Amino acid sequence: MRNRLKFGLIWLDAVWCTLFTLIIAGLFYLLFVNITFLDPFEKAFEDFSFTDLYYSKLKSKEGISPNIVLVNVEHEDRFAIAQAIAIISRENPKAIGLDLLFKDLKIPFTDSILKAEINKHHNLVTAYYHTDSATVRNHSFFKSENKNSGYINFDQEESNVIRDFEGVDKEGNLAFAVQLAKVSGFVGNAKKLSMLEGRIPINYTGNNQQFLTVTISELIDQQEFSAAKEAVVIFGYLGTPTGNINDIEDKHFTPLNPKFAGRSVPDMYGVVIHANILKMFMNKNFITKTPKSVVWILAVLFCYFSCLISLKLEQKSEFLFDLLKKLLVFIVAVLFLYMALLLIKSNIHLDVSVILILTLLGVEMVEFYIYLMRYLKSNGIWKHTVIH
Amino acid sequence: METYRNTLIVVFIALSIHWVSAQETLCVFKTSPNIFRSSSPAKALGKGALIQTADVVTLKTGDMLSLIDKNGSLYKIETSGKYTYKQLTDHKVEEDKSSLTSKYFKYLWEEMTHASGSETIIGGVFRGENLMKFPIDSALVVSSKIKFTWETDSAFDTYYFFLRNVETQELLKLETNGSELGLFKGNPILDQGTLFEWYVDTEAFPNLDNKTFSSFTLIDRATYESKKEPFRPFINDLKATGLSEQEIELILCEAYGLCK
Repeated sequence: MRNRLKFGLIWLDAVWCTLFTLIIAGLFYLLFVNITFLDPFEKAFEDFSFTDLYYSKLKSKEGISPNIVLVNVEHEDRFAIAQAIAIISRENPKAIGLDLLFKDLKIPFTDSILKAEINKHHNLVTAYYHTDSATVRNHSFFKSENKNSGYINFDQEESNVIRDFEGVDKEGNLAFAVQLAKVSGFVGNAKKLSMLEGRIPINYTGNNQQFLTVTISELIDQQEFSAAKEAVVIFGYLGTPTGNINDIEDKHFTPLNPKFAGRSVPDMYGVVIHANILKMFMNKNFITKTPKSVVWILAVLFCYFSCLISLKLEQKSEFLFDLLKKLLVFIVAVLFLYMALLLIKSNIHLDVSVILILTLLGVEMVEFYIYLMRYLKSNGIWKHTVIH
Repeated sequence: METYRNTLIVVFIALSIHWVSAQETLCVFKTSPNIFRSSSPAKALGKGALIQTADVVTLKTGDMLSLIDKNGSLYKIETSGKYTYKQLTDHKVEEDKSSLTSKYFKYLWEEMTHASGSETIIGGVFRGENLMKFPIDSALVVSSKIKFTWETDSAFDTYYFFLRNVETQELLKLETNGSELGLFKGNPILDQGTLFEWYVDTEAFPNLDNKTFSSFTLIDRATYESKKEPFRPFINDLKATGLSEQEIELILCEAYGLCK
């Protein structure tokens, strides 16, 4: 009976210890948020995600996508761009996307040729972007008769790393890559489009080396590009020359950055991010993001179990607990990260950082919980504990 | 009977069309210039070109061809020869088969033991330190004797010549007091492989990892002649200006890296 009571009490102690840990975690969080000299740490953590390790270091190379062609516009003029569009369109691609903006008029002759080329193709998608106060589009001279356009915003809520995108905005406008997917037939009906509202994680497959790329000058030299047949072709900037690591115009931070923590240089051109999103639609390879509520439930549960195991160890032998605490923390961290990586490999995104922090904090807080319980017990304030 | 015969013809044609349209193809992902295929002998292969099952592709020494199939698998060919479609598909680049688990724990171990070492960071760029003159970087050389020449610095009497076989990583180091050096084809280091890189320094023991080597490829006469073909109009223009054969060959070498 005594043992059963003791057994029951330790489970209860673990509950109180979990509560204690949550209170301490909350206090730490308030410290981070409200004390300005800790802002740099907060900002550093904003850009960090454990799952970036998967994309940056551990993901196996996927096959090169023959159904997406990227045309590097470099610094070619509008006449060359129009010529390139004409060459590509002769191959009957599924869709042509222009990740380019023609905000002003230049030479009337070349502008007219470009306008004619843009209007000739019903499967051509143009780009625009939203700012806080306005929407920036091509000059009205280039307004396409077809209404296929998409916004190219990659605004992130908390970080500079582009991990997700908004497929359909509140007004029902489509993102550039989603519009391309729709025009090329990879997104069917309105019901499927409505499922793209809100933030959608990007399932990156690779940088520009994973796509078939060609420059405008190569296209004009060859006067043909058979690989564009039935492919989706996106015109955009890929550096001068293509893939130049020192050229950061329209380059952004993504989880594929070789340096996934700390200072680094942007690693992926905007057009390649669109290509990665499009590839998700082509292969129907979406990531399911675990809801925040599930993450918190798991965090509390794991915190509880870490408190329970630590209390049982401490009860068995204080020396054993002190000896094994660090090892336990290390093993828990390694295993949690491994679990997160396995899940992301199966296209399930679980934000393990909260779960990991609470679990490890639980192990550390056990000692302070014990001091607190001893104090409360010795003063007769609280008796329902196995701590003595 | 007539209807039956016509039906059979229609079915046969439909099946043939389906078979033709479903034929496998390989798409050119990356290519050296002047690689040709049998179906289009006058036009060099370019990026995005499709290779059909009936095509035969010819690669010369120093050429490189990367292809992808509809599944995204990569095929890479770097050896000279004639390749049928089937032979091209035998050069599939093997994917990394190691599991996430092994990669993860290997990564953890390397991080814990700092196996990758710390990054070298320098606050400068490399300019003008290359003494090498001939053969120029990325030259294609056909000759039984290769003459290396470099610029001299009045402050130094002795120069150190480094020649590395890229394939075997064998390194030849020589000390000399001149501005040129000749090596014959029979030299052991030149006997194996075709791709080499060379460098000249005024220091006896420079850190070769920080130095920019010039590369060159040894080719045979037939390859030289075929690589010269695209320059035929330019060569004719030079001949018309009165330049000799040797002078034209020197221009091709100095300007385009095609050396004899």
